[in-house]
Amino acid sequence: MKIAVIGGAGLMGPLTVRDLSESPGVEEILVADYQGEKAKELAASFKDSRIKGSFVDAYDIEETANLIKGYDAVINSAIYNVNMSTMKACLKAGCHYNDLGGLFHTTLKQLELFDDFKKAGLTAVLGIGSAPGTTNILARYAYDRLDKVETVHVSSAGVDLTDMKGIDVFKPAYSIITIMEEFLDEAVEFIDGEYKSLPPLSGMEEITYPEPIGRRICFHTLHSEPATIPASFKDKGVREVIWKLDLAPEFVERAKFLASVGFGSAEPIKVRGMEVVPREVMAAVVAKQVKDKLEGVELKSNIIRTRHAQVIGEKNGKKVEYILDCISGVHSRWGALCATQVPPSIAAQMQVKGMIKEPGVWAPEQVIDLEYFFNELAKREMRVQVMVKEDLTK
Amino acid sequence: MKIVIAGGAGAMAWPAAIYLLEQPDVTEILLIDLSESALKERVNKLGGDRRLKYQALDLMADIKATAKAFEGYDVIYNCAFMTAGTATTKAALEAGVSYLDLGGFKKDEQFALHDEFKNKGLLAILGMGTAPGMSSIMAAYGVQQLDKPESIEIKDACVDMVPDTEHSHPLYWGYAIEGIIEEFVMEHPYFVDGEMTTAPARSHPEWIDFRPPAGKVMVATTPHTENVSLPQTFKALGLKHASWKIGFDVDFEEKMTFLRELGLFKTEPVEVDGVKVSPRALMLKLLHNQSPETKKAPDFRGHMIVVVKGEQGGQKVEYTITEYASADLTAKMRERGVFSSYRTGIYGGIAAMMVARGQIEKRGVLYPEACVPPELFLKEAVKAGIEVDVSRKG
Repeated sequence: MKIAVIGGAGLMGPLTVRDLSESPGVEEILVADYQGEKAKELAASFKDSRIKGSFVDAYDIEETANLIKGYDAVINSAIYNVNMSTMKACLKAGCHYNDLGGLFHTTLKQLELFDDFKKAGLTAVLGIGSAPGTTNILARYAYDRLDKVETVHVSSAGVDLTDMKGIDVFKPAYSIITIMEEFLDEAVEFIDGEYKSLPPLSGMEEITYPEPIGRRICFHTLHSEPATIPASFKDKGVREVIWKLDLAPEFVERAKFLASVGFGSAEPIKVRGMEVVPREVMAAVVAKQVKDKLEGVELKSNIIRTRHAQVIGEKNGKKVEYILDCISGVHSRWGALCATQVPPSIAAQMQVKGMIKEPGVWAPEQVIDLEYFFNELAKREMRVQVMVKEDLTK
Repeated sequence: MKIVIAGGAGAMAWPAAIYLLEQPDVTEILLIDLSESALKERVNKLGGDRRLKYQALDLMADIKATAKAFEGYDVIYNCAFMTAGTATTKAALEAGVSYLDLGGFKKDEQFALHDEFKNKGLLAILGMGTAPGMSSIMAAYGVQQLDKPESIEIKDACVDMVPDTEHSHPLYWGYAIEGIIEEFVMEHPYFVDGEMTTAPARSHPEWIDFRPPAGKVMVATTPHTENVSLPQTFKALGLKHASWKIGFDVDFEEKMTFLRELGLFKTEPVEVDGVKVSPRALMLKLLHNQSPETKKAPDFRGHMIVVVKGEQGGQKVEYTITEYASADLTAKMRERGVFSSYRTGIYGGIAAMMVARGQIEKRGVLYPEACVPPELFLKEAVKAGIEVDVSRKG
């Protein structure tokens, strides 16, 4: 198997590359990134002749296609803005494709390439990270066991028990630009059988998760699960698909503050005669701050997170509730959380092995073999558990 | 008296002009600033008083032109931001008019003109606002009561009484944000045990009880003129310690600290997409670019407490001098729509009048504590609506 990772040197890419390098049957791995030097450095750091690094401008369909030609699958770990162009490059080069999500709106655009992928005999799996990704697949587990599906509530929550050694670092768990959008963009949820736009960070709800996570406060944000699950579960009558995210109130305050100052803006602004995009400058400043503050500091990460799905429906005329959790902690060898980075590696390998039978553009809940996927997650120290609630009285 | 207010359309000039227009012996005030439209608006806001004249002029562009504008006036009261200090001082010298300003970082350039000012029989008072300015004069008053001064501690509070949740703006500042940023960043001189040492910005914090409504405020050191001027003026008399500390409301302190820790106060450029941009420049641009306030305007309150300790008649005594804007003065300013810190404009105005009226004997370029008669100044402050309290502990 030859697999390329676009954005391989970014926030998510490196652990995906690592997972690929430890998977059987992988002959070649390409780390491609807009930061070409970083990609080459990362590739070299593995000391593995199978792994190469290269510059890529994923917006340039022609160049990207030339780069990935010969690879069996492409994992897009970069920011969702490059999803469409990367998919088109895959069509040109004849590669399977998967990504970490299109923040709802781009996901809908990507689904329109279904016929192109079908004609090309290729598969694309959209949003196969942890959320979206594992969340969708957990929901599918419940869907399979119900006659009717009423509501699907997916969420992600966690607790950070890392001893920061008194260092106060503003360390977003994922791209600060995506976070800014989640804070600024309206959330789109599927409620009462139709899509509704809600204010970002509305719908505050306390949800109880397995220990040690416990009770967490969660909010609506724009996300991709509601973009696909309503259609996927339509035949069982689903009326509601909602996504919420747990956010530490302090982090919310800080990110909201940055957004209100104007740092979330994608509009270029002139500063001393130069045109800059505030959110990109902020991302650079935040990244530098993390690097400077944690330089030479040994931290033993201790974070527990869950991807959670609560599905309510009917089986044999009776109401049944499924509560699923995929719980992940810091990987014992890798020393970091890997819940988002591992699923695309698993999916890419499945795509190359032909385990996704139908060509086309798919959401994870439509095509991923659940048992196989859960077992693969378990190999990376992530366990999936299910609780079923049903009323036993007649 | 004919007075020039440089930076006449700015925040500090507004209360300065209000005070000066109340003086019966003021016959003309010339407002100088960059924008003619801003000046026109300011004249309107001041009720279109006949004594007001205005001229759009870049103080720094051509010192000769600035000097020409200054000719014939009794005093130049520079309320513009610090960068214009040296140029404006030179222009005053050339025009043969005495000068005062609200402070600056390039005072050595101004002090270099000391002999020239002296020879021409002129006076330049550097840093004659609230602090430096009134603070220094309160300290001088305390020192005057003693045979031998030992320590001078100045504490100030500048607190927005309106909670952040009641503003649409993400951040409000009581005085120039550019200056406050420097106060949060710069290491600075700190006079202790008779020696000049250095302290980091916002160090040596302590909680001080200020008069309501400011209440309990955490004050900490910042770079400020008094750290240097008080030892310079009073070391020969035996002064061993001097400290300047200021406190803000908790929201402001937290937000500024967060922005600083994030690296947004750095002037060292970050590179984004091949473009180098100074984080601080972008941040200031965004902060100054906010859409109009939709909720509540800020309400900055606070006052200074100066504690002077030393020997008097062989005994150890302690003088506490406080200044506090009376309710009437506050109401008047609010009624006029002045929301930022206004005492500064008034204190400079009092000194401007004392210079114009010939009530200050000394000549050359001097700190306020080295030339302004303390008791007379404090009496004028009381007339202007400031409550001045002096207590002695022996």
